[in-house]
Amino acid sequence: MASTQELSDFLKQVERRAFKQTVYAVRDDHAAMDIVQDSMLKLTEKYSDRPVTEYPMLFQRILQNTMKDYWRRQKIRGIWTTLLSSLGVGHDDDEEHDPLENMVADNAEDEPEVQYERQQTIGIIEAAIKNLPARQREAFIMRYWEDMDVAETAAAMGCSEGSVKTHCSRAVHALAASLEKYGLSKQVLEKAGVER
Amino acid sequence: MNQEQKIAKDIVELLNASVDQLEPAVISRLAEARQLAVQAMRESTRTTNSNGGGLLAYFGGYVRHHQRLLSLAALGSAVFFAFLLTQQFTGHGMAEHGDAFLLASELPPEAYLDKGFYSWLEQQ
Repeated sequence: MASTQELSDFLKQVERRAFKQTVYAVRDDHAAMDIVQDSMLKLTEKYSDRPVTEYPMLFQRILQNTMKDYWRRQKIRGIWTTLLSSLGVGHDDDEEHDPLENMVADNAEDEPEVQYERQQTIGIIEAAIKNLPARQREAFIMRYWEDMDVAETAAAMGCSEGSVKTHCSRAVHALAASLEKYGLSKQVLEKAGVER
Repeated sequence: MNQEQKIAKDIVELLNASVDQLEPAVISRLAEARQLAVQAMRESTRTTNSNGGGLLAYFGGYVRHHQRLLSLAALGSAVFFAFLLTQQFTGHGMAEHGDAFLLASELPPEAYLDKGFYSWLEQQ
């Protein structure tokens, strides 16, 4: 059983990445914050008796399920909104948009040129990650960002290890293709990474 | 490290940079959420300890996890108990008990020789 200190250390280590990961998926900062907070509480309530080594996989699974709950609620809300707007009650101007098209580097005017370029690269990557299919994004983030092994990722995603490898491979190729599209070659990526 | 892993590593480095640039308000809210979770765990541990460990805690956990099964068992027991009570108070068994008592009770030997007794017995 993990101690409160171990739990605190674990959450401190993953909370920011979990938030960003959720933002990529739900595209709403406030919703993402609620989802992360719910996931933290669920981990504590249901799995506090588990050893801390199992926490990364458990937390990811909880996070994915909480996101799915959020989408389910959004879907139901969407049905009602569509119904009401078809009756002329509401206004729906949230048209489909490509985040890559209106990607901007915030507060870039005052930054040095290098900082600006890096900011732009991050923006493009984040937009590309948001555009990945959900399963590919999950696999990529758990496998490479959370540094979970294939077996752990498969357990958290509830699929086979082979599927994880396929999702990861497709995600990397899709990201590389998106970056190429915006003129970001492998060298630029490396440069941006090194200049951190 | 193959090409795919290399690209993934470069992307992850940039994602880590984006994490470092989170707004202070977000960082502060995440810290609050973490503290809430830790507090919840602390309270849960305290409750478990105050309930006592061992057998009591085991049964407490068993009851929590098998609530539906235990409810069914309680309902079944109540129905069975009600059936027993009904049997006791309807007097259905009392009549049988009465006949047995009558037959098993001590009678003087003359009673068996009395033909009137047999005709009375047949009438019963």
